[in-house]
Amino acid sequence: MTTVLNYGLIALMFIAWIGLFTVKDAARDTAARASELGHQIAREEERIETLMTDWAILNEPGYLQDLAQIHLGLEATSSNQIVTMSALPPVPLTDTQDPTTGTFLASARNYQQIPSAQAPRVDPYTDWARPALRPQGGR
Amino acid sequence: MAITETVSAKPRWAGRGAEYFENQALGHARMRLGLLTMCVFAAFTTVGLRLADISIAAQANVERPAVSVVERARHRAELVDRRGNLLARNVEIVSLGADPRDVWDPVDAANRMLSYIPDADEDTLVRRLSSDRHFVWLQRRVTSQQHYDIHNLGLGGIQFVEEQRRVYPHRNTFSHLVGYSNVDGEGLSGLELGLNDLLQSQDEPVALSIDLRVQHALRDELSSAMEEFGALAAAGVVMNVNTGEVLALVSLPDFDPHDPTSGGAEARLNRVTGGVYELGSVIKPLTIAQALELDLVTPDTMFDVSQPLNVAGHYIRDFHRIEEPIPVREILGESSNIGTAEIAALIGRERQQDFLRDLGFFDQQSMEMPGAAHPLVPQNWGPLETATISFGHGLSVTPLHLTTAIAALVNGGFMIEPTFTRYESGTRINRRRVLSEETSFEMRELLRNVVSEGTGGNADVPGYEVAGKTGTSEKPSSGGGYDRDRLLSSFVGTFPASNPELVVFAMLDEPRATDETYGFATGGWTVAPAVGRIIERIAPLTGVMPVDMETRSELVAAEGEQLATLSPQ
Repeated sequence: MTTVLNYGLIALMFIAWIGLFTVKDAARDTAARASELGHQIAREEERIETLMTDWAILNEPGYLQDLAQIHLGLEATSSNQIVTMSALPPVPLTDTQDPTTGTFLASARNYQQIPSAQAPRVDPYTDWARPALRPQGGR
Repeated sequence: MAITETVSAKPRWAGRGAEYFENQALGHARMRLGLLTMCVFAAFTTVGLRLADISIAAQANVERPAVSVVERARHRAELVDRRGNLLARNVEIVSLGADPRDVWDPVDAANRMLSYIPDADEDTLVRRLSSDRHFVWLQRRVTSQQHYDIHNLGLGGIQFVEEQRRVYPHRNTFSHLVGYSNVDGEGLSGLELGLNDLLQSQDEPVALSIDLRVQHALRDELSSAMEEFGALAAAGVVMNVNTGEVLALVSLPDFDPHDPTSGGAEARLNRVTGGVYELGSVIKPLTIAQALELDLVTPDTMFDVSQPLNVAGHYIRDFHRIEEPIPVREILGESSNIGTAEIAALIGRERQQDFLRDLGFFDQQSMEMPGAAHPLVPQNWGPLETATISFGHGLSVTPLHLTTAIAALVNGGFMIEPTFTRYESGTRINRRRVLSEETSFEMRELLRNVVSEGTGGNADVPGYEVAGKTGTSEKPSSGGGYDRDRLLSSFVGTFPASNPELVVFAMLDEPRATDETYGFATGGWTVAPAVGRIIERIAPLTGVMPVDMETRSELVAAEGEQLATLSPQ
């Protein structure tokens, strides 16, 4: 009986030993993978940081200014190119609008036909500002 | 007795034959053999598992470069501007070295590497690879592609040394502001030195009050002005009038922070904080403000400035003679030395000194920027000094002293401390009242008048209500007195006058007159136009909208008429 118990315990010890080794091995494997991933993340971060530095160098305002002047003909914005909504003039009435309320008398379709048929088309939101207030440089 | 009983009892083996003993011995031997087998098995299993273990662990290590030597410099946080644009950071760079004792064939190794580092010299490489030293440098700072290619050659003895290097992406643009640090990661000048402890202890980037775009605009315009007028040097600063945050600071000539010695000692001087100058008429607003504050004058008080003023045996003259009596408004507008000296006489020496002390003109400024210069205050301050200092001669201060004082004049009367780090919203600003709200309001109006009617007209920008003051001082000559031909021309401006946001100071050292300036090299002709251009460029960047509604409505009316002619009737 004692002998059987001894053999049983020895067998159990072996099983536990193998089990422990397997777990330890798996843990080490995972740790190695984690370490490898850590290295990879560090390398990626380093690369990102290098790219950010490159980006900062490429965004040097003097360099961008030279590029914009040489290739796009852009110039610094002058103060009269900046306008606020409150400085916009009131929208002029057309003959399709009621002079007292400003509402359209005819249908929108009718309104659109009038400028093309009778007078040069005027878009009060864009045309009035074109001569002076648009940026003079190319876009 | 028990002993007798034991002695008399029969032993267990009594009556058993030799076979019994034989069987029992065999049983014991088998058991021992079994145990021994188990032990041997266990030992072999252990060795086997350990072998497997080592082989697995070794495999995990294979990818690590076995040839690299890593040297890491001390940690140093990034410096960014107020919008998060990168100004300085550490970058890992790789240099190529070798242990010549492990190099098999120096000539072959050199030839193979040369295809990737074409700027290296073949003979030098071979000589170094053949030396008997433990380590030689082959090429400092190789690119990541070169690193990869040379590593893949698989040459024996080749080593890659990783180092940290501080990189300044904007080079000269921030040379005086950001400064530079040494190879050990210690700040040596500028904010790299001033914020050294913070940069070494903090992981997060350190945000400065500087705006990269404003800094560029200031430097660009100052460089142009310096070139146009053949000036020796230039300096400029842009500051928020309410918080004291410096948005830009430029001192020219400047240097590349990667190679600080390249520009010479002249280039390393930060003229805005480290140089003291007799700034001339840009100081006049301080005299006028004090007289207004003390109720000695109003903007309309008249003064006779037609005759040179005799003070302690010296005559004070104006640049242009003004025949008629003029009000204080025009004394500032026309920059009359005589008028200002007359006002200073009303103020008196004691009060003048107290006010200038209040504005910090007698002390070194305390701020993050190291190397702040100490003002030069005259030892004997008599009536003549009171008169000359009132219009900017005889007292030398840094441009930043003046900029801070002008900010106090226009921000409602509060003295603020200049700072180079960004205030987070809600930060309590440390400020001290030096003038009343009313005086500050009057000064804004008077300074606006200088630009709209007086000597500062060239700084005007439609819509931004530029207010400011011109300044032209003669530089002290080596033989005593002042040199009429060597000028220090400056302009200090603020905008918009109705609610100032920023103050801009610019200065040119010894500008030369051109045909366009009609032979004048004064602040109003050389620096004021540059400040106008600077303001026109930085106003949209800092969110200041054009406020001059008169100009606006004229423009709008013209457009309205044009529109009316096009409208269908």
